[in-house]
Amino acid sequence: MISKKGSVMDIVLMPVFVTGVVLGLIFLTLLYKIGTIGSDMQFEKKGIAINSALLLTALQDVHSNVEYIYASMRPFVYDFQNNKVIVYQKKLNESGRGLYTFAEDGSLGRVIFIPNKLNGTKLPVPRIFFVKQGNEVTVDSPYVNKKFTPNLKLLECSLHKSKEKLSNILLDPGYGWDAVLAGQGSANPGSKGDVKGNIVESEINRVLAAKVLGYAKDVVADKSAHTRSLSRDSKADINERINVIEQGSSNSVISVHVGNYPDKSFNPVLAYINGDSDKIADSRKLACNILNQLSKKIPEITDLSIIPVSVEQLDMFEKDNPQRVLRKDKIGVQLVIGNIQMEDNNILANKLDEIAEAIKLGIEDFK
Amino acid sequence: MALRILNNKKGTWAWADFLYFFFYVALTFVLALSISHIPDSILNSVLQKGNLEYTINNDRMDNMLAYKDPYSGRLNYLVLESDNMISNETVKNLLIFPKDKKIAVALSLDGKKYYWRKKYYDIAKPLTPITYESIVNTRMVQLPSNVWGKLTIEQVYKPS
Repeated sequence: MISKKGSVMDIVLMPVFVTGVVLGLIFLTLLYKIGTIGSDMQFEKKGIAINSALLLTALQDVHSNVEYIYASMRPFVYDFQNNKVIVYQKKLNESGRGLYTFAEDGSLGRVIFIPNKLNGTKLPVPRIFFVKQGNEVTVDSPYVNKKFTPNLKLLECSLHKSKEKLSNILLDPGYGWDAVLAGQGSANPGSKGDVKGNIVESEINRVLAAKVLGYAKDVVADKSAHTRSLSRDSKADINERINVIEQGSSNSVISVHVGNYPDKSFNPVLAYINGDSDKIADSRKLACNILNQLSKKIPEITDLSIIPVSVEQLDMFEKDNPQRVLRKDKIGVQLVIGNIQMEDNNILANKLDEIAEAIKLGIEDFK
Repeated sequence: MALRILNNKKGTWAWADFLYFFFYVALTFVLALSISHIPDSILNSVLQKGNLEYTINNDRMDNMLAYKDPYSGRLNYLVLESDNMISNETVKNLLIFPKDKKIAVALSLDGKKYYWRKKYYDIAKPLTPITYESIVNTRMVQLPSNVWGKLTIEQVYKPS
């Protein structure tokens, strides 16, 4: 088999030798693959990218609020862009990165996706929160963004374009009590509404309306146009207030009241709207935007709710039905804010500026 | 046989070399590549998504077309928002897909069809379900004018 001269080629071309080389190469490749399989993160990166993208698609489909937590995260960069999720270790375009795309809602949609990038290579990100809250889908982590707190109280507001723009909004501070008339012994000095300690509803409603006017001068009617004076607490029964609303040129009304509930842990904001009005869709949208802004600004608020009412039906049961200010021909919201019975940190006592600013922001969100 | 060729003094040594290298070297590469790719393909097989994404997309589009009841705030899937809801404008504004996503959407009401990426649809649709796949969702809906119609939402896509 081997020549007497002992040519090297004879050895190299021996089938046993070639077979040995082939088997050796295969064995080395196998060893290399086994050695690297444990440290190869490709599978995880791809898996996370696909799962995240599918999760974001699903979150844009649900109607209620959702908080979904991804735990035990590896040290990757999680780049949640518009339409795609990219998971990588060193470079955005590295080989073996995870990438998967998803569709966002178009202009007929209900939800807006907020992109974010979480770098888990510099700082550990043990948990990532996928949140659908109100009209937003977002991805964040309190380990990276200390201010991040999911707000699962937010409501999903209609994104329809209203035919009307809000202008010259009339403010209706509920109730109204005249201290001068009361001092003179008048039989009808008005009504204070609910009272608890220093909190007098008619006065709180007035102060709050005055603050809303201060924050939102551009869209709220002039000082003298509202259902009662914003300068001092004064008597104004419901029929007088309704007359002002009906005779005014404004297309919209925001009425403010104070809540009163025996459960001291219940600190809601309720928004009543006229269920029989042709403008119910716009009223619901305005109510929703204001409630969401209130919840964002004031974490003490425990619940948000929009309640459509039939004013005609309520009138049959209650003589001075406060929802009567919600007229059928106007975009109207009656806010019943907080709980006068709250003893500690009552927002009606110490957060009136935040409430007024949130109402202004809610009005701005109505476009 | 191989030994005979090698030992054959009259034989064609060049052909013998070629044959050996052709088979053994090529086989080495084939085996090495298989060893490298088979574990990857096994691991990645659990990442198969099926048509989950497109099923959810279909539901999302259904939501967008449904009538939003302003009283309850809920969606009524049996009713469309308006009589002229199904149009070219609508199909463009339902979902924003990434530019490189291989997908086309068709909306139809009582046979009148509107497309997003019509060219892609025309190429892909005849090739379903071989090269491309499609999800078709058909149901009866009521228009605000009280007329009933058959609404179809169709997605034609290349499985990834």
